Amino acid sequence: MTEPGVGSGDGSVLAEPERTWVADVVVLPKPGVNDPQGEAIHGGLASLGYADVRRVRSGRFFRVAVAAPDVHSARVSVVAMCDQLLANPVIEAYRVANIAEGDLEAAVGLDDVGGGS
Amino acid sequence: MSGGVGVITFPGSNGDVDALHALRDDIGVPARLVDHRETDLAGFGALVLPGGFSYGDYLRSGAIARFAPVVEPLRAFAARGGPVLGICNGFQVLTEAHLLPGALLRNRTLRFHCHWTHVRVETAATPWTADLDEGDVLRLPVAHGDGAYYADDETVARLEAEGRVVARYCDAEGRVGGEANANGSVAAIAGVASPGGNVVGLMPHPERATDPLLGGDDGLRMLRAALTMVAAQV
Repeated sequence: MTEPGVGSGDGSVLAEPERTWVADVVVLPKPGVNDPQGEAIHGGLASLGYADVRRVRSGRFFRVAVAAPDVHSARVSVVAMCDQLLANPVIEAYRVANIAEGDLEAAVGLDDVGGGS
Repeated sequence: MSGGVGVITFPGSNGDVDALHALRDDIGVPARLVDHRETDLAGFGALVLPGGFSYGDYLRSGAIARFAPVVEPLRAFAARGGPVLGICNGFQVLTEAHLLPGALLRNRTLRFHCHWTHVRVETAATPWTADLDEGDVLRLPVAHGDGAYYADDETVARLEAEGRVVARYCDAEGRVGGEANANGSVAAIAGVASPGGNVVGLMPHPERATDPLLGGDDGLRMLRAALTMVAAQV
């Protein structure tokens, strides 16, 4: 995806107004890396009667608000954060699941996708 | 005069005073605590990263400590061949800082393990095991939630081939693995070394096994090596 007016690099453009991008990052243990927490959760689901659950992997979810002139540089920045800190590449894989302009509090709420009564 | 051994204190370290006591009072080597904000490590003959829960184990054990100001000078110290021992959380910090390969995962039991264990010394070719022999069995305590050593197959094969597995969990007779590998470490690995051997990470706590009153003193057999390191320092 390309954004209009991005990546000029000729120094002639006026400073971009600061834009805020909200990135969702999912981190999971790499295939083959033991995940005793996921196994315990699997066991818990089985105890609840969910006999159809084949496997559970447990990980982390981050929502990061980053200032950047465009979505591409925001993504580059978030990927660098993942490589350096949010995930440990020795044991974890990550995916930037979603990235969109907005502010963190107003970003798609998790209650929009379930969890309500 | 030599600066002796530096024991690096991070916010949340809890084995730092144990290590200091073991080195200074039990071994008799000059030692002092080093604040995580210090950046001059030039005077030390050896450095110890103690156990604990640096930065509350937030994100991953050891992940935040690696950004402390002391870590870049630590990296330089290690690159010059300076002896570094990371104990428990110190081991986790060294893996997160990529000074040692692999990572420490949650124990396979999902429980915090706080008990005595045995480890078999697998190499004497590190400054920290130089006073020991391969095959020696030490009885040391462990205290960890994230103690399961993990590295991919290729890395483990390289560690084995290069003699960089420092210690493995074993029973009192030195039989490696099985029930003795309580946390589920790959190849029952309890400690590994850097390519040069000078940086060692170990999950058990030698600094908490320095007196029969504590339940055992096998830790002295390892930590005494610090005397040589400090004496060798110019």
